[in-house]
Amino acid sequence: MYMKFRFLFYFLFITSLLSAQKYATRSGKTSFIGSEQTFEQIKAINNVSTAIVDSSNGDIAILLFVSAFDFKIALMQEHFNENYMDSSVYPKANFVGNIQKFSLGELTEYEKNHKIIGVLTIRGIEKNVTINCQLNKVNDRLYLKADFSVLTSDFDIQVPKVVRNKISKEIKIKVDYELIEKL
Amino acid sequence: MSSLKNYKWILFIIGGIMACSLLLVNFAYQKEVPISEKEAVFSGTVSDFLTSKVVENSVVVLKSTVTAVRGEELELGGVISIQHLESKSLSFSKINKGDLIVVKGIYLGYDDLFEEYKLISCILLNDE
Repeated sequence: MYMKFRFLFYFLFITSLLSAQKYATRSGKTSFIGSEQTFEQIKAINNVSTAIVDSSNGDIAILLFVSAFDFKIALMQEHFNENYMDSSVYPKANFVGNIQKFSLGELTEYEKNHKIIGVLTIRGIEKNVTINCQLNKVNDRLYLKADFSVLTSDFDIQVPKVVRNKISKEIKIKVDYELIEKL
Repeated sequence: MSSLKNYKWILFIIGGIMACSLLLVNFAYQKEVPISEKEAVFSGTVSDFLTSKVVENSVVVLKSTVTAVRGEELELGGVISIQHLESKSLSFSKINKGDLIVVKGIYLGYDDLFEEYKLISCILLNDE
């Protein structure tokens, strides 16, 4: 029953985003660092994140495919997908939320700090998060940047003992999106 | 005589450790197989692709008309977005809306936000 309501909520949320005036991207950059400065740092970038912002009220939805995270080392990428993220079972991560006090008319070419409140879903586990972000607008493009952290334990990501000292408990995530009006 | 024997053993052990380390490093740092060398699990048109049940993260080959060009991203059959294009022999920059192309790429899955299927790491193939 809960799952049905959740699906309905997401469906209505996304439908409302699609029908309103929007800014969107299919090639957002989402990166993360999962270790301290070690010999080979655990970091990856996803260059195909999709995001939509409803410019009338600041609603935002982000979706990314976990397997699209690109690592420098192929073996690290394989372990990330198979052992930690179970990307065959949970292929997507998403975020739905609202940019607080969003007003398109007040945005300029200079970055302005905003707060985004929403629900981040990774490995099928939902977590309420508040993210500090910077927004600016140049011509028909909206730029969204954000840095935030999540705990591996919040999303039930099991780290084997043997690599526990190499993988941070807190994963640093960086978002860098260039959203274009009316895609 | 015995010290010479010991010396040989030490050299043998060090050599063995070095060889194992080298193999281990080679294994850990092996490059990902390029998309051109990967075997495709599906090859056909967009309509055939939509009716077939291709598993996510599979390599597919699609033959289709380009329905939109958005920078480094193309749309096939109005429902498939292909991104991160790379090609040594053929250039995506020459592709226009309405062209019939054959692409090979990794099928990521269905994007609920844009309501389209997504392919990445695509390369252009010659239409044979």
